[in-house]
Amino acid sequence: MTINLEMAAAELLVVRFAALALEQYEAMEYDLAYSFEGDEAKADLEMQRINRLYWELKAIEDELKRRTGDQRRVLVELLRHPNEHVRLKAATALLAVAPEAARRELERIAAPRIGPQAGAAGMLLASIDRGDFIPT
Amino acid sequence: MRETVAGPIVGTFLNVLEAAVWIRKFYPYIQSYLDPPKTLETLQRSALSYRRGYQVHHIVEQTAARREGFPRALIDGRANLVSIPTFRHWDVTRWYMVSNAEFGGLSPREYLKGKDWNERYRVGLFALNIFGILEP
Repeated sequence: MTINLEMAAAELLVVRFAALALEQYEAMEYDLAYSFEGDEAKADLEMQRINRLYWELKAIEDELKRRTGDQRRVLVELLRHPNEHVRLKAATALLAVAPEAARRELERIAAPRIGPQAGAAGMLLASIDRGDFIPT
Repeated sequence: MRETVAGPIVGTFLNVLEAAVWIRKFYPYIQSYLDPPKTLETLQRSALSYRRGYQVHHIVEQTAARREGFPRALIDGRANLVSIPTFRHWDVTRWYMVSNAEFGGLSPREYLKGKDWNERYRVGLFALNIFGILEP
């Protein structure tokens, strides 16, 4: 589905953000499965999909940020999404506008220190704490 | 599925047998995934022998390091090799490949291009720590 980001209502962008994050999660699962089967070519394709989706998610984040009053805060509702990867992506996008809620969620995801989402959340928090990454 | 082919009792027996074979095959991988963090010395020492459920991991990524002209003795040196759970190895490897907000949309692998050995080693150890493989 292609949507005009500039014309879309904020609520639609939230739905689209969740859908893309879920697709990225699915690509990560496929990447893992293909890696396990030793099918490097298919795993590489999934990795390309994962990174393409990063930029599609970023485009939604940028569009919400561009709007009057910085509307990224609408992504807060995704912090209650049942999928951990969706919560990770939402929390990352919210760091500049809802830092406490975003950080709390990232800490929750990072705590088990097991799995790709926990690792990504942990690395992000560490980068913030070291001052290497300043959310804007 | 088996039931339709061989009748309910034989079908159930075959399903249980299949599950048992699956568990026998993957148990070392699942068990190793739940390993607690270890010291660097333990991880390095373990890299000297093969164990099912574990893979040898290069703290500084070998392909990128080779491409950038780091000497083989350093890349495959004992200090750079650790034995880590297979599934966690994939978590770390995948983290290196995925675009990240903290690197301005670059993957860690892209971020490390042109960096010196110490920075690569620091990031490598840091990833092992965050992913629950290396003791803090």
